[in-house]
Order: sequence, then C-alpha cells, then structure tokens
Amino acid sequence: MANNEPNIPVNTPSSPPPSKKSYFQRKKEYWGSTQNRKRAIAGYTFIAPAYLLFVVFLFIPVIWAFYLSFTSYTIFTPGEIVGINNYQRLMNDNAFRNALWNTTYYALMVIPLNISISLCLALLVNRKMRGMNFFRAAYYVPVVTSIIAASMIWMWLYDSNNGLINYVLIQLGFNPQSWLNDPDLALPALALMRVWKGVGWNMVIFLAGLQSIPKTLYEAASIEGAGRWMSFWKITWPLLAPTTFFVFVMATISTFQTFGEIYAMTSGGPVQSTTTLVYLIFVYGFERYEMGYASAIAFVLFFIILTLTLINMFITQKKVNYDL
Amino acid sequence: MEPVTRINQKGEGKVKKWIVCMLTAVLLVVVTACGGEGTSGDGETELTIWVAGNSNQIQETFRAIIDDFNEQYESEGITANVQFEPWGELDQKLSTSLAGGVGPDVFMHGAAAAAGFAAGNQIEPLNAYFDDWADYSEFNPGYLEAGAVDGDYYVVPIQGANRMMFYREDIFQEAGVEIPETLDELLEISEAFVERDGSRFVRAATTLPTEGNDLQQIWSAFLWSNGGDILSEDFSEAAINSEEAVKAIEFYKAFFDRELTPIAGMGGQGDQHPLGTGEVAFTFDGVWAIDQILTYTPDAYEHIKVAAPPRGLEGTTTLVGSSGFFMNANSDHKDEAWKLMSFIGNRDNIEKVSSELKFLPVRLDVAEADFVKEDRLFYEFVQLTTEVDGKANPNVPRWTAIRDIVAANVEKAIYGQLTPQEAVENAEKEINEEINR
Amino acid sequence: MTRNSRDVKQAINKLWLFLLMSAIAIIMLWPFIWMTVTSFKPNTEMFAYPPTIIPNEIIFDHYVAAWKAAPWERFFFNTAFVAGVITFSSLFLCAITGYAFARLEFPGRNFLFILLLASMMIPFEVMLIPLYLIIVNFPFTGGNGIWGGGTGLLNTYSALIVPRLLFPFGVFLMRQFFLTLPKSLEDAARIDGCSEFGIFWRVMFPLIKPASATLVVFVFSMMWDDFFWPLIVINDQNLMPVQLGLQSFQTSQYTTDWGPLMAATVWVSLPIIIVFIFAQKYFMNINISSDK
Repeated sequence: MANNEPNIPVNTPSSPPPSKKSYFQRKKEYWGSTQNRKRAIAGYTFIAPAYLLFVVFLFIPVIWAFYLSFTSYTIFTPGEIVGINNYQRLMNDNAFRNALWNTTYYALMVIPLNISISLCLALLVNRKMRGMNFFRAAYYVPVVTSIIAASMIWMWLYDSNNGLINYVLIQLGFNPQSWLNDPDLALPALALMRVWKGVGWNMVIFLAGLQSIPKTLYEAASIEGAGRWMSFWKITWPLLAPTTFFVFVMATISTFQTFGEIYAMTSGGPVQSTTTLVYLIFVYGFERYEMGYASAIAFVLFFIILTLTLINMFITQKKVNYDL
Repeated sequence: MEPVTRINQKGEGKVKKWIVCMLTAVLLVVVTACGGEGTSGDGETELTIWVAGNSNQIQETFRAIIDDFNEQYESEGITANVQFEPWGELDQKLSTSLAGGVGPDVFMHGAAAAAGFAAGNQIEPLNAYFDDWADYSEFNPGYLEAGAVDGDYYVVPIQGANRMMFYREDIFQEAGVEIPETLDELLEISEAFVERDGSRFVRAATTLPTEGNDLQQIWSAFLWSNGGDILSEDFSEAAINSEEAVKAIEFYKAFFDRELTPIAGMGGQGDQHPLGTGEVAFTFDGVWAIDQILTYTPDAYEHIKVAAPPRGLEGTTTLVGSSGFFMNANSDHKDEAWKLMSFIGNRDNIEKVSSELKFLPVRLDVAEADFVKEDRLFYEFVQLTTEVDGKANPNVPRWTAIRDIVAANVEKAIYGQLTPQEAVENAEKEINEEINR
Repeated sequence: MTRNSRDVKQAINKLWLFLLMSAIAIIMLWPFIWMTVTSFKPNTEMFAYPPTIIPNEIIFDHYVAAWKAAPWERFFFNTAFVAGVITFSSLFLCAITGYAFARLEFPGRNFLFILLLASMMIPFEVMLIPLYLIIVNFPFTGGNGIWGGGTGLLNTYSALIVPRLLFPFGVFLMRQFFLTLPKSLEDAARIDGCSEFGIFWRVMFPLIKPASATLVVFVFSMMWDDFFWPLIVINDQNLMPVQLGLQSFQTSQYTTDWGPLMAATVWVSLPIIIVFIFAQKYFMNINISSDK
C-alpha cells in the first residue's frame, strides 16, 4: 500500500514545495496549474456551506466577545471602551489567580486520567466477545445521563454523613471524608466525577480510531513474532496519533470549560477551591453583569487552550513521521 | 482496490440531487420560521409574563390566575401570556433577553436583584402606580421595602422567604433543655443534642451552610441580632469591621469547632429534611422546610415546632427575603402591565398562590386566612413573620458582589484560613473597593 | 503445551477479562442503577441510612407523577425532530468540510482550519449574548426587516437547528479520520475520472463509517442532553425539549422532587442508549484492508 502523503495531522501553512521564489511568484505558479486550481475550487466549495454557518454563528460572536473584553459592557449598559483595563485588572485579581490555579490543577487531574482510561477501555472492548455490546453501552451511559441528575446522584454519593462512598469507607475501616466540603478534596472529587462522565466519549473515538487501523498490519507483525505489547507501541500507538491528537484537544477544551457539575454541586466552594475560570466567567458575567471583564477572562482561557493545542500539534507532527 | 474501480459517474447525479434536496429542506426550516408569531391586531395588547419555577404546581396555579386575568380584561383587549422559567437558569435567560430587547413585560425575580436591574435601567419604578393602589397598605411593608432602591419601589411581592428557627420538641425534651433566651446559651446547650458513632454524626445539634447565599443569609441574621450591619446606614461604605461581626463569626464558627455539627452539613441526602429524620435538633430555615418534612418524613411533623431565633447581643432580627414581580422598563405596555401586576397582587390571588404553593403570604390580610390555620407549622411561621423584627439585605447596585465577599470571608474564617478579626477586616476592605469601583 | 491446556488457559483469560469488564461496568453504571432503584422507592425509604440496595417496597407512583408533570409526548417529538435534523445535516456538513481540510489542497487551508478549531476554545458563556442578538435580529424572519425590529428566529425550530448545524469538533473528527485513509484510493479514483465530489462521496466517505457512526452518536446525544440553549431561545412550551421537562421537578428555589426526577431521567436517557446500541455495530463494521 503506497502512501505518498505522510499521516501528518496538520501541515504547516507552507506545505507547497519550499523554494527561493518570491511570494507572488509562487502564488502565480500555484494558480497557473489547472489541477491546483481545480482542487482549490473544489476545496473552497466544499467548505463554503460550513464556513457560512461558522462566520454567522461562531466567528462573529467570538469577535464580538473579543471586542467586549475591551469595554466596560454590563449587559444592560453598553459601557465604554476602556482599552486594556480589564486585562490589567486581571493581574491583580486574587479571584482570577485562584481560578487559574484551580483550572490548571483540575485539568492536570482530569486530562491524563481521562485519556489513559478511555484508551484502555477502548482496547478492552475492541474485540468480539459475547456481551460486548452491553459493556460498550454500559461505559457510554454516563455520557448520556443528564448532568443535572448525575450531579444530584454524585452529591449524594459524596455526602459526608449518609453518602454511599463514606459508608463503604467506614465498612472497610477507613476514615470518612468530607469530600465536597473539604477544600483539599472537593476539586479532586469533581475531577473524579468528570472522568466518570467523560471516558465513554473518548472511548468511542478511540474505538473508531482502532477500527481504522488495517488488520493486515497486526497479522504481519504477529508473523514476524511481535508480541502484543510490541505491536501496540509499533502499530497501534503511532497509527492512532491523529485520533489521540483529536482526543487530547477535545479533552483539553471540554475540561477547561467544565461548568455544569460545578454549578450544581459546589457553586465554586468550599472557600473557592472549585472556582474554575469558566465558573468565574459565569459569576462575573451573569451574577454581577460585568460582561466586559468576564470576556477578558474568557480570552485568557482561550489563549491557554490554544497554546496547549499548538504545543500538542507540534509534538504530534514531529513524532508521526512514518510510512506505511 | 476494487471499490474504487466500480465507481461510475452515473451515480453522482443522484447524489447531487439528494444533497440539493437536503439543503433545500434545511432552508425550508429557516423559511417556515418566518410564519411565526404575527403581531396582534389594532387595539389589542399582548403582555408576556415570566414566572420563576416551572414545576407542575407552579404552572397550574399561575395559569389559572392568568386565565382569570385574560377573561376579566378581554373587553379591554389585553391578553397575557405566561411562561415558566426554571430557577437555576432564570438569571441567565432574563439578562440575555433583556439585553436582546425582547424581555418580558413583567417578570418574577428575587427582590435582592432590584438594585442591579435598577442601575441598568431595566425595571420601572412603581411609585406612581402604588399611589393609586388601594391594596398597597395590605402588603407586609417589609416585603415592599425589600424591593425598594433609593426610595423607589420596584416590586409587587408574591412570596416571602424569611427564615425562622425550627426545632424538634422531642429532642429538646429528651435532652432536658428548653429554647434558651440568647444565642450564646443556645450554643452552650447544643452539646446535649450531639450523638456520634465514631467520626460519623448520628445526630448533630444543627446544620449550618458553609458557603454562598445561604451562609450570608443565616449569618447576617446573627450579625443584625448582635446590632451590627454589613453596610453603613446610607450604604455608602462598609460597616462590617465591628465587634458585633466578629462575635457573630465566632458564634457561627463555634458550632464547627466544638464539633456540634459537621462542616459538610447534615441532611445532604437529597431533599429529606434533617429535622424530619431527627438528625439535628434545630435549624434556621424558611417555610419550604415544612413541605420537605411532610413529603419525606410525615411522621416527624408532630414533633416539630417553629420559634423566633434566640436573642443576640441586641435582640432578635430575622432575615426578610422575598420574590415578586418587576415591570420591564422597556415595556411598550406599562399601564397594561401594571393591571396585570396589581391583579396578581390582589387578595384572592395571593391567597391562591400561598395556599396552593405554600408560598409565605406577603399580604397581612392573608396571614389569618383559613388555609394558613390548617397547617399548624405554617400558621405559626406566618405569625412569627409579623411579630419578629425583620430586615432585608441592603439594596445596592453591587449587592451580588458584596454578598459574595461577605460569604467568602465568613467561610474562610469557618475553615480557619482567617481569624474572625481578619475576616471582617478583609471583608471591609473588599466591600469598599467594590463600592468605589 | 497440549491443546487442551491452551484452551483452558484461554478460557481463564476470558473469564478474567469478563470479570474485569463487569466490575468496570458496575462502577460506570452505578449512578444510573442507583437512580433507577431510587425511582421505585417510596419517599420515606428513598434516603434511608444505611441505604437499601433493593427497595423494601416497590412503587410506580414516581413514574405516574413524572409523566403528568410535563407534556412529554410533545417534548420527545421536539427533541427527536431537532436532534434528528441536526445529526444528519451536520454529519454531511462535517464530513465534506473535514474532507476538504484533510485531502484537498488550497491556499489558506490550515489557517481556516485552525480558525474553526479556535472558535471552540471560547467559553460559550461570553458568546451567549452576541449569539442571542444575532438570532433576535436575524434579517427577514419573525417580523424582522433587514435591521431587525421583530423577534427574528427566536422561538422557532430554526433557532434550535440552524446555529448548531456546524460542529467544529465534528469537522475536526472527520478531518482526523480522512487523514488516515491512504492516498492511493483517491488517486485511483482521479485517474478513473471521478469528480472531486464523487471521490469524496463515493470513495472516501463510505470508508470512514466508524467515524460517521461516532459523530452521529455524539451529536445526537449532545442534542438530546442539551437544555441550556433551547431554554434561552425558546419561550413556547410547544417547542421545548425533554431536558426542560427534567427541570420541572425543581419545586422551589430550595427543593427538588427527587422521585419523579429520577423516574423521568431514566426514560429520558433510554432513547440515546438505544441509539448507541444501534449505532455501535458501525463502530465495528469496517476495515479498509479487507477490500481485496
């Protein structure tokens, strides 16, 4: 099977052959080729409907919010342009610093656990066995359980006095914990719940990724005497790279933006130990109506996620340089 | 690569057609949207009213009231449409639609939000309407005051949210104690209620919230009972750095430090009330506790009593909270909107919502109604609200931020991150910063 | 090693695997099981300590009460309709866009893709009001002229559907899967004289069925689960989704009716679980190497 194009998830913007010609010369040459032109036109046509929707319903709101981050907009009053005041205010805002730390801590707990557990689950259920349909569905059920009901059940499980988790701990001879009311434990407890809720989603993506790997490769590897471990590292892991990249980016985005259960279970407490950046955005934006300031926080969050994504993109791109 | 070679161009025409069909279908959905609501004809007025809460009972009760209204005002060409919004998302939906200029003419909200809405010119002062309103004097003045900002009245109250002290008479008897005179004595006798099994509380003296609005509401009542306050009289600066506030924090914190109640609270198991299960001896709660007890632990009802909380350094002051209806300042039909608001506020309707939804009555003439007397606890609670001193949270534009500052600093003191003295100093500083922002 | 002992060893391995997966299944399903058990308990037993795993008394009252609490038939229809339209339209949109980003070269491709990706990184909370204003002022609908004046798309199915036809994550997902396909496939089709669209539709799209099934399941469950956006843009109860029905058990600012909420959550979750079970045969269906 010949593959002329390496499986690089993202090509650098300068993917046409590098040359010493000027930008305009290159441009002219590019558009001079009928094949290039044809393919470019097809490309633009294919993305046109999606881009139309994107511009109207995503891009404009984002740019709008970006503009608002430079104003003192309060939802009810247009406010005025205040330059970078909102961003300056961030630097001295303890609540912001605290939320930034909480978000980082939360992400560090959730993202690695989420990705590794979901990959393990995908490997587990990626086989033909009786009852496998049940297991796959079972692992996906948390994803589809409404966050409101799930939060209520988890609050109950975590309850310090009558919760099931402490009941089990006491039966096993451990000390019961205050979970959601302990500033040191509340965020890990929420992280655990997020992992529970999120692994099914990523498992399904990994499963689809695993299915796209040609079986012949494994057959060839086993003929050559490679063990399971070996074929995982030599075949599965590298070929799964585009999927892993996707899972990582999506996990980063969704973890940094977790809101539902924090709102329902801890309201950011105790002592602000579960106030994440998105929760802070909600508090400033919709409880205090300081939407301009909230937007500034949102764009700091945006740059964090973007940076992480670009770093990951860079690593994946370097690593995945193989040929089938 | 066989599938590839099998491809023929004939199939493609079909595919394209199919896609054209699909895109047309999507467009159609957009276009049919045009045929949405039309505007009403001449001389007809359509009002929109939002009610907070969307439970079945709330919907039924308010639908009936709005139907009555529509019937009565049919001749004047006024129709009201009612919508029900879940409490949890009320703020976001309301502020979004007000920002979009398509907010309801009349909406229900907690009275504490009045100052914020008023500062943004989103709600209409009702003073002029109140002048010609015969029912005005029938309302409990505390609730009207709770929705007033700088002398302007903004709210027609619908539901009171005061807090009183509920307690288990049988547990008090068992422990051989009575409701004491003062808060300090209450703290002293609390030891007698506690029962433990290892580190687990089988019974705690009480349950106290450790964060958010609930913490601010309950703690502020202790602060006021001590004679202290959060803001100065004219709301121009913080007044929380006081001996009274330190005492109130020390009192509150003592329940946790002396292990009279777990920091995680009692009764986290769903909606069952810890008084109903006998897991605590007393709580500071609103009328909603009665319904919780009746739903999940009906047998306990007979043991439960309600009383005014014991005195602080200065006396007893309880929190007066309320929610009610506001008029959108950008409504095109303000006079009609007022007709709707005053209709909801009439005796019959207040009686209807209070009896069917167990809302704490906001009118004095409903306080003695038959349905109130049917439920012993409810009746006693309602009586207390008219007898005991009450105070509402201050209506200042940055109240939500100030409330969070108070709660956060008291919370830090409870968790031992600040001493009570540091907590009030810190709160004072942060509140002043917030006021001067 | 005799054949027999190898069989035994394999059987033991299988048993271990089965036990491990069952244990994980119990942990994953536990909250859902607990919810279901609770929905059959009377109020007085619901929160008993220590908790009862099997109810002493099984009652169906909560199901009856929950069914009466909202016009569920209507809510189910609305959600199914909106989720269905969005799922299938967005599958096509995401696939064709993802395909272009993965396999067609055109200037600005990576920039446009990263722009799309970046839009996901802005918390929705700050986009809510701008997006709402676009919906309200959408030209030529709901009494609007070109600059608004009416209510635009507000309170229509379109408000639920149109802004959510495009999922950047779906484009991203499809792109990643199109990237894994060998280039020889499209080259062969090109030599055969297939049009660019034909290559996408007849050759490439059918090959990423696992990804398509994944996207269908995701988009469908996201739309099924969603209540915040519908809550914001819909005022008419006839257009409301099932998740809003779940909201109606919050009986006051401070209290929730647990029994009926648990009961309703069970039936609200069931359709997506069924869709998942139905879709999962496509996760396992395809193997590009088997085309010899």
